[in-house]
Amino acid sequence: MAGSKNKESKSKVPKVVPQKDHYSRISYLLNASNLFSADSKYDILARGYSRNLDLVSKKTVIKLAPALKRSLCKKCNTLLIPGLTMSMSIENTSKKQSPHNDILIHKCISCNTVKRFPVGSNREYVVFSEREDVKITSE
Amino acid sequence: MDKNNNKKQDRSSSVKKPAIAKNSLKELEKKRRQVFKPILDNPFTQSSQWPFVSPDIASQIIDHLSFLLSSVGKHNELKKQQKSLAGDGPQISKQIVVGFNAVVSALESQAQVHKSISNISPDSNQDSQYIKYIFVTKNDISPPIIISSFPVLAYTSSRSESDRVKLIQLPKGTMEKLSSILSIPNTGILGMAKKIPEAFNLFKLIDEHISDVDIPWLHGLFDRKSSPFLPPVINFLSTSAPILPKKNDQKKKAKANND
Repeated sequence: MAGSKNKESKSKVPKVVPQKDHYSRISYLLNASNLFSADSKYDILARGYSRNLDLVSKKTVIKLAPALKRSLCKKCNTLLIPGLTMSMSIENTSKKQSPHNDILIHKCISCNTVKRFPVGSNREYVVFSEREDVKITSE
Repeated sequence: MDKNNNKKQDRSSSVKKPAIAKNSLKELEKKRRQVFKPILDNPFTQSSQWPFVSPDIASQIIDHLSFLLSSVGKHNELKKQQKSLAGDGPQISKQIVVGFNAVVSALESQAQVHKSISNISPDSNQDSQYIKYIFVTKNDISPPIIISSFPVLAYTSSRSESDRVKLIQLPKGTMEKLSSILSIPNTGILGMAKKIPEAFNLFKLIDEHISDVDIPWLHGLFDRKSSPFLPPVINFLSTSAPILPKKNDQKKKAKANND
């Protein structure tokens, strides 16, 4: 039943994406930012590109996937690559060290901005856009 | 809960005038149509980069691990019983890192190699502490966001293209085994240094059967010239939107005027 429903909904998916050029531009900027963030000599340039990316997506009102949005620092727009520009840790400040207080921390190395994910509060949590009945991947 | 209910009732009673009951916000909310919203996804995929481990190899690896770690586990247990016992423990325990924070911080310090512009020869500093093998009980740890960045981290913390960090995913249920062996609760992530003489056979097995982590979009780290361009990935979200009356309906207006 679910399978047939999925098929049905898949056929309704529009084939043309309006304003595809903006999507391409954002993706291109991300590529550029990634290219330059490999070398710490160009980190300002890389940041500039990803800042541009953020501005374009806001101006054109284009929805970015959470995975993409989380890969940019909110404050300084650095492309966050684990090990290179981002450090991770799990924090648990509760006295009993109870597992539901686990918090995953992503810290931008260049500006020390911290992004906290309360991982322990709901272990089964899936981001809305990643849920199986919601996300439709294009081939 | 009660408060909420009261509020809802209040609001609906104030909004709902008998004449426009059909167009009340509450009524409109019920009618929704299915829409597909385009969403730009990350072209740098993060999830599907775990090297494959066949179940046969995995069970062999677990056997090796339980043999290696048993001495460390015994020491840990002793430590728990007598807190005064502050010995160094077996030799091997220096070469093993346990737990998310310890492993990640060790890998991050390894990744510093790429940051320094003047490439200090990586072999000089702490060769014995180079963590080359990471064991992750992938399916025992939830939510997946905790370990989703491990492939990338393994790649960035590699010393060179030929000497990359191996990432080994272990099957479901291994977390319990490891924690009971080590007598540390919730042990799902292990890091091992390259030079452990006792683990020679284990490492040989891994090197032969498990492929390296490959992150195409980070090739620029080792080879400045090759960094691929990835095309945009546009997916769709199937959600719903309310059906609202048209704001400026010319046909309706014309009809009204004719009447």
